[in-house]
Parts: sequence; structure tokens; C-alpha cells
Amino acid sequence: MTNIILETKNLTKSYPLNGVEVQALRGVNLGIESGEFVAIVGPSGCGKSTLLSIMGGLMFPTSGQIFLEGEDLNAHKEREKAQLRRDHIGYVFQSFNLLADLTAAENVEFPMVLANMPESERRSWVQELLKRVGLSDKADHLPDELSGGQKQRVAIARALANRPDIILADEPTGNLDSATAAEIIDLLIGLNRKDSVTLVMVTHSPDDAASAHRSIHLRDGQIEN
Amino acid sequence: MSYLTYALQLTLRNRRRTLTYLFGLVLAVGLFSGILFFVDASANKMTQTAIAPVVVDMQVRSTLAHPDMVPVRTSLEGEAFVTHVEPVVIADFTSLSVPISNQATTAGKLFVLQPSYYDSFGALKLLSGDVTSPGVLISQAAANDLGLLVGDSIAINFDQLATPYISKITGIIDPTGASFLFIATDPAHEGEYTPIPYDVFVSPTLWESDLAVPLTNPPVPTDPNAKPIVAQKPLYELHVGTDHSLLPSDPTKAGIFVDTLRRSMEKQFPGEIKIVNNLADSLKQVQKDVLWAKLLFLFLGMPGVALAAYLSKYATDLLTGPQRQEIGLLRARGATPRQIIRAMGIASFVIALVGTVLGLIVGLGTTTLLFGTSAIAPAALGLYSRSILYAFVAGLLLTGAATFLPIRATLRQEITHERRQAEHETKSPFWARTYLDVVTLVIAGVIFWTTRTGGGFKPAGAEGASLSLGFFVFLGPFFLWVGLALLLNRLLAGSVSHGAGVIQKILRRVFGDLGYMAGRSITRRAQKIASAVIIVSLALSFGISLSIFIHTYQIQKAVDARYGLGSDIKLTVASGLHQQTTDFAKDINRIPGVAAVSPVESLQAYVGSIQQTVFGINPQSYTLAAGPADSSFANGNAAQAMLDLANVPNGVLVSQQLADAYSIGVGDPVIIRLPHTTNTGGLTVETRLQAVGIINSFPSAGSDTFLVMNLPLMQSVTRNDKISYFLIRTSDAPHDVAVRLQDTLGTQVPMKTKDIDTAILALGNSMTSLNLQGLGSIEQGYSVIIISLGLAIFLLSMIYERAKEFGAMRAVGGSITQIGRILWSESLTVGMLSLLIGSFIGLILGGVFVSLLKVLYTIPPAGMSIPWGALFALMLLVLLGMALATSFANRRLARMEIAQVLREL
Repeated sequence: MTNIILETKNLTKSYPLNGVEVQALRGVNLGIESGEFVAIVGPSGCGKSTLLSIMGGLMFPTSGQIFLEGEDLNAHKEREKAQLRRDHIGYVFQSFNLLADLTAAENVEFPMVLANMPESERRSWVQELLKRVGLSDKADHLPDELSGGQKQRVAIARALANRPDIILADEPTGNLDSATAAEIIDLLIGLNRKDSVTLVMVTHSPDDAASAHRSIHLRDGQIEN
Repeated sequence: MSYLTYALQLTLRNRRRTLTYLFGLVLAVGLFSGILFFVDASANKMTQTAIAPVVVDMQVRSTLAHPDMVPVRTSLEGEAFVTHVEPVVIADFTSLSVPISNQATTAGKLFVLQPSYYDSFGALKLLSGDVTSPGVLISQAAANDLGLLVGDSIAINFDQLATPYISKITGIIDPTGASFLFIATDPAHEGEYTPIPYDVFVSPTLWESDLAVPLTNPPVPTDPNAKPIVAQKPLYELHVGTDHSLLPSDPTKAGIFVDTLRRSMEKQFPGEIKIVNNLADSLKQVQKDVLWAKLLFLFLGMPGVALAAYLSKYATDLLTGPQRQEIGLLRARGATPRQIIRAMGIASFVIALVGTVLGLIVGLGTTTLLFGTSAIAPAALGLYSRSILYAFVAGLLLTGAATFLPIRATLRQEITHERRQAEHETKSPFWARTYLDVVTLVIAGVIFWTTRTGGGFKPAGAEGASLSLGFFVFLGPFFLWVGLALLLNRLLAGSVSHGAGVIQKILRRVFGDLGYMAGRSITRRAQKIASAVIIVSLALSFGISLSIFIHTYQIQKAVDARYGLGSDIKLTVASGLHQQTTDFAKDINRIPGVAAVSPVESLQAYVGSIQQTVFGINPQSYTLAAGPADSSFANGNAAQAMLDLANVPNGVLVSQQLADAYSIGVGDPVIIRLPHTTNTGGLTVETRLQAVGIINSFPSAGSDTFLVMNLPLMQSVTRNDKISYFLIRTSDAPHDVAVRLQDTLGTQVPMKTKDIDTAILALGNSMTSLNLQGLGSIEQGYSVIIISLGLAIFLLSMIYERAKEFGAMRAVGGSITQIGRILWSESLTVGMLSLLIGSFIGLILGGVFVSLLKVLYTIPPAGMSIPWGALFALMLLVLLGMALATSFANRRLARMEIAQVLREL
């Protein structure tokens, strides 16, 4: 029996650019199963990141639906959608997007604070997550004091903070050198295989995509068969 | 595409940056021009108020015995500025009497006036009769004292006529509004106002036909032993009225304008005429006052302007990131620095032009609020031409400094640098690195020290010198204000880091765990927080210090008015037949609303060879009725000084100036010679007094040389129990009680009452009449806007700078409400720290303002008066501004396109 965590139905997205209506997505249908590691690949401008943003509730589609564990994401108000993101989705960005004035541990702790997790639980869980991404000794460092790879590890730990059902990673290795990128991919594979974390990763890299269970090829806003 | 088109596109494309800067510029130019317009309008109002009571603008007096005034009159009438010229002849008579009675008056004046004179100047009020019928008009005092009415006959006695000149009375005149007719011309008392109650007014026809020849050329007595008859030498004058609307609004220029006519006439008729320039004289006091006003307004208003200018710079600095990117892009596309400078220069100029024009409109708007729409009527706009020019130049300079110069600096950097996102600022700000706080405090100290050693804050005589001294002195509090704010913020930046635990705890208590997280972020951004605190605390301290000064000023204004008057009401009974004794105090006391009455006798006595004013009082009743201020006495204790005087019957309080001049100390004998009423030959009685205290000031005597002694002793020595005036303290509204006094006692005894309510209003051309309350309201309004805008710019720039962080917060599940709490934490931290620091600096600066400007008050304030209500309202407005700014920033956050923001590199 399949267990679909996230599903899109006939997703379209268009937006105006210099007076011309651009079709970023043209009827995308896909389903992500629990524990799956899916790579979304395609040329630049094909709509990969737009699709990921819509899947994560960060952007509204022009038409179509997104179901997160069976619930229509866009049927919810902004506050409820924020709650769904907080409790069910973890994000990893290409440019890390850490909070510059908070330490590595505090960055990881931040989503837990949003979820009102008790402080004692937060502290031990932060330590555990930092240990899992290999940054126990960098807990008190500010982002500026960390390397790119370390920042992305912190971002991954932050994505795991509220034990999400799915992690959406938007080119997580895009800003890293190849060696560090390989480490990050290994970390994500480890999380998927050892901890059964469901992963959807947008990438340009065929090597990274090869690590996934399956790849979805996007071209001109459509999934290639 | 032309540079202008590109510049316009640049301006419109960066709407957020343009609007933020424009708002700051409009505020700065609006406040600056508002203050300048306020000064212009105040100067104009003060000039108009000063010249309003002037009835006869010039009195052209002949210096010849038999002058021909026709050429002078013709010349005057040829001046465009002159509206009417009326000839006047003034002669003396020995008495007025009723033909069939022995009743007679003392000597008086005869005025020869054309019937048109009464309409031309309106100072002589016709009570009954008419001015054209053949006969004479007499003053109300003469009619009252002789019991005469229109139609009765009156005898006018002259030394030159053997028999009285008898004529029919055709009118009764009230001459009290024509004080200019009673200014002494003899060399000994020239310029002194000497009212003469018994006056006669005749037409030139009657004068020429009946009086001119016999009075000026009396017959020689046939009896060689008879006393020769001395011919009269009447005074020939031309009374000139001018068009006041042609006068410049600035009193100094108006004075020069008016005096030019005097000099021209005296040059034209050398040795023949002497001109009394009443108009120029009336402007003399106001010239000094306007100078003070300019100084004061600049003194109080310039920090606000500096603040608004700083706000513009602050806004531009916070938004330099996108501009750098834009320049980088242009350079990358091949634009040369010269092309970029030209395009950006045009864009800056367009913004400056729009902002300055809008600022001027705001400035005129605030002037309208205070002075009404007439202040900006097309005819009045000429008043502001110079100020408009100054404000315009200031707007252009400010924009140049805030926007254009940074562009030039940016162009010196590498393109790669420019394309980068603004880096996290780790370097200390310029002021902290250069220790500007310490430098400004030292400069303030030096200015205060120099001012103090130079004798305090006071303007010199000449305008130029006064202004330069004024600017110099006003820089003292300005530097103190800036220095204190920067120093406290230096300490704050350090203490925010060290006091992280406290801030985090407070924010956790208010906003929960999220507040705690925000607290951690805040304490690591102490420098940024401090820069926002600087601007808000400066604005707040400006508002607070201004409130304190204006409140103290308003209170002292009332105190000064009371001091000038002596009490709530000063009641003067007409001299002569109706003059009252101390017993009249009992009648006054019976009037409802009268709480205390004290009689005061004032006369001239000799101290050494010089005449001095001596006041006779009853210390007990004077204390109750006048309530003298402690600061009026050298010992600082009014009650004790009055007690000392009461305890020594021949005691005397000596004015500080007199004590210094004659080296008189407490306990020393003071010998004066008081006039004896029964002596008509001016003989005096030597009186030995004993100094019991030193007095700094006495109502109506200022700080000059004078003495205050016990009234009973004065009355027994002079054998005169008449009283000059009564001081009355009221339990009801002073004006109402004054009306009651007039309605009851005034019907029996001719009297004049002056109440404190009217006295405050009557201080027309004095500094105390300045509308500081209005200026204060405007500046406080601006400070609230600056505070709100400063916070809004801080919060918005924070959102802009940290857009990706806020986007990430929302992506990881933060709701608008939760992220709003972070904004509120920052806003509350800035707001509360600013309230603390701003209040502290505001109190210090308010004290400095009051202490430096003590010279404005006759009775210097003992300290500053704190307007708790106004300060509370200001705090509430600040909190409201803070709430609005935060809500606005929150809305911007809610509208943020998260996906787009997070994708930007």
C-alpha cells in the first residue's frame, strides 16, 4: 500500500514579466511517498524552484491543488498554513538563510520555539540534531563564523527541528564546492536511509540526482515522461 | 535616453527609497522654513503691535518764534508715505474759570486745531457738542471740576490779557488718548509725559482773530512802572500721519525707513524744525525684542531642524544597499563615472526640488495654523521671500550632502563591491571611532564657560554682534544635546551587550520564548539598536526640553505681569481733588472678590544730591496683597524682609543698585530728604532711616535705584496722607473684580484699574508676548513625527536588510503574529531605551535652557517648571507613534513574497 505524503494536481503557475504572461508550470501532477528521496531536475527556468515553493506553501499556484497528508494546503488560512509548514515541512535553501544574529544552536532551536516546544526538550533535541549533522562543537558559533558546508548542516538540522514529514531542499549544494557538496548529499542520504526522512530535492547536478530514489524531469513547466 | 529621462525613471523606479528620503527632506525643510516663517510673522506682528498705538507718527516742531510752516507742510504732503499733515499751535493759559463764580482751575494748555484734526487722528474723543461751531472745546476734567456743560460760557485767563477771554463751550473732549500732546518740550524735562488735565481746544480762525496777536505780541503797558507783559511763545507743530502698510515688516528696517523721512526733512529745513519721530521711537523696543525672538526661535528650533536633517541622512544611509547595486549594474554595463554622476546628480536635484517645495508648503501650512490664513495671503507672502530662499538653499544642500556625496564616494569603490549585498556591519560608526561624543561635550563645556565668564547670556546692542553672539551661545546646548545623546548611546551599546540577560528576561516575560530569542538577536546588534536609539532619544529629549522651557516661560510670563503690576489689580485714584487716603482701602475691601488691599505711596526724595523714588508701604498688608517673591530680596526671604521692615519704624529697604552705589549695608544709616507738602518752595525734610535689608526689585521700579520705607513714617514726615495707588489681591478672576470696583467705587471716585489678565494681553511688544506656545506645539508635533518616522525607517530598513531572514522565519513555520512579536521586541527595546535616555537628556537640557535664558525674565525662575501633563501626553504620542510604526512594518512583512525573497542571491 502506497503512503502519499505530498501530492499535486494539475498545478499551473503563471506570472507577468515585462508585460508578457510567463507560464512557469503547466499542469504538474506528482505524488511523493513517505520515505522517498525524490530529485527534481531540469534546465534553468523550467520551474523547479517554483514547483518546490508551491509544494511547500510558500507560493500560491495559479490553479491546481497541493495535498499535504491529504489536506489541501491552499484551503487553509495563512496562520494555519504557517502551522502546517512548521509541523510537517522542513526547508533547506541554497543560500542557507540562517538568522545572522543567532548561534548555530539557536538557529536550530528557532522552529522549536515557534512550535512552543518546552525548553528542556528543546535543549536536548538541539544537541542531538547538531550531533547528527556533526556540529556539536560549533553550537555557539554565529553563522558568520561557519564555513558554507557547516552553514548548510545547520540549515539541515534546523529543517529537522520539528520532526517534519518531508524535507524540501532547493539546490542545497548550489553554493558549495564539490567536496562539501558531496558531504551534504551524504548527510541527506543518511537522513533518508537511517531516519526514513522523506526528501524532495531540486538540483542541477546529475550526480546529486543519481543519489535519489527517483528523478522527476521538468521541462517548460511540465513533467517529462 | 537623455540623462533627465533616465534620472526621472531612476527616481520613480526606486519609489521606496525616493519616498523615504522625500519624507525626511520635507520634514527638515518644513520645520526649518516653518521656524523662519514663524520668525518673520512674529516680527511683523510685533511691529504692527508696536506701531498700532501710535496716533501721530511724527511731530514736526518749529524752532523759530514766528515760523512759516507752509513750505514744510507742502514738502511733507509731497511724500508718498505721508497720508495727512495737520497744523497745531500750543499755548499756555494760567487758569480756567466760570465767568460769574470764583471757582478756577490751575494752569493748562490751549490747542489750536483744525476741525479735520479730530477725524485725522481720532485721539481726541468728542464726548458732547461738535467741533465746527464757533466757540471753544474743553477737556472733561475742566468740565467736571468747573461743573460746565456744552452751551455754557468759560473764562480763559492769560497773563498777556488784562481780562479773561470768555467764550461759549461748543464741545467736551476726552484727551486721555492723546498723550503725545503732553510731552514736555522744555530742555529740563524734554520727552517726559506730563499730563495736564485742564485743556482748551480752539479753531485756527478763533486763534487768528481773537488770540494770536494779543498773546504773542501783547501791548506795552502805558504805565512805565507797571510790570512788563511777557509775550507767549506758542509751539508751532505739524502732526503727521503715515501709511503704516508701506512699512517694512522688520522693525529695524521699518525704523530706518521712517527715520529717513525725518532726516530728509531736517536736512531740507536746517535749524527751522525739530522732528519728534513717535513711530521710530515705538519701534525701538520692538527692534530689540525681535532680535531676541529670532535668537530664541533659532535657539529652540534648530535642534529640531538638525534632527530632521539627520533623519534624512539616516534614511539614505539605511537604503544605500540598493543604490550601490544600481551603480554597480550601470558600471558593469559600461557607464562611465561621469555619466553616472550626471544622472544621479539630476535625480538628486529632482528629489531636492520636489522635497523642498513640499517642505515649503508644509512650513507655510504650520504658519497658517498659528497666524491664520491672512499670514499667507498673497500680499503677506513678500514677508517670507528671504526665508523661502534660505529654506530652498538648505533643502538643496541637505540633499546634496545626504544623497549626492555618498554616490560620489560609492563610485570610488570597486564594481564587485557594489554588486554585493550590504554586508553585516561590524565596524563602529564614525562618531564612535572619532569620539565625537567627547569632542562635542568638550565644545559645549568651553562655550558655557566662555558665556559665563563673559557675563552670561545676553545680546549686545548692534544687530550683527547680537546675532553672532546668539549663534555662538545657542551652540552650547546644541553640542551638549548631541554629545550627551552620543555618549549615552556609546555606553548603551556596551551595556546592551553586557546587559543581555536582563533584556532577554524582560522580553521573555512580555513576548514569551520568542521574545527571549529576539532578545538574543537584539543584544548582538547593539550598534544598530543604538543608532535607532540615538535618533529617537534625540527627538524625545528635544520635545521634553522644549516643553519644560515653554512651560517655565509661560509661568514666568504671568509672574512678570504680576510683578509689573504689583498684584492682581492696581487701582490708581485720580490725583487732585479726588485723591484718597489709606482709609479708602476699607471701601475697596468691601467689594466681593477682594482678598487683600495694600496702599502704596510713591514720591521722589533726595539721597545725597540725586533724586530717587521712595515707596511707602505697610509691610503686613503689602505681604498679603502683593505677595512679593523671595527672589526680590537679597536674603532670599520675602517674609523675613517684610518683618524686618515692620519691626523698625524708620527701617528702609535699599535697592541693590543704590546699596552698591553708596556702599550701604544692612544696619547702616540712610539719610534722605523727603518733600514737605506744606512747603510750596520745594523744601524738603531730612529723615534718618536705617537700612534693614537689600531689595532686588520692586513692582514698577524694576531693578533701578529706589528705597522702600514704612508708610506711616513717610506720611508723618511729608504731612501727606494721600495714596498713589492700591494693590489688590483677588479671590475671584482679577478682571471681574476690576469691573466690580469700577462699577461700584468708580461711580463716586474717578479711578483707573489695571488687572493682571489685561496686563498680560497688553504686553504687546514685549518678549513675554511671544507665542512660544505656538512654536512649541509645532516643534513637539515635529518631534513626534520624527520619532515615529525614525522608528518606522529603522524597522522597515531592518525588514529590508533582513528580508531573507524574515522570509526564512516564515518558511520554517513562523506566523505573521509570531514574527510580529520579534518586531515588537525590537521596537519596544528601542522605544523604552529612548524614553529613558531621552527623558534624562531632556530634563538636563530643559534645565540648561531655563538657566541660560533667565535673562528673559524680570523675576528669574527659581528652577524649571515641569509640565507633567504635557510630558505625559508627549510620551503617549511617542508610544502611539511607536505602535503605528511597528504595525506598518508588520504589514510590510505580511505582504512579503517569501519565495521571491528567499530566491534572491
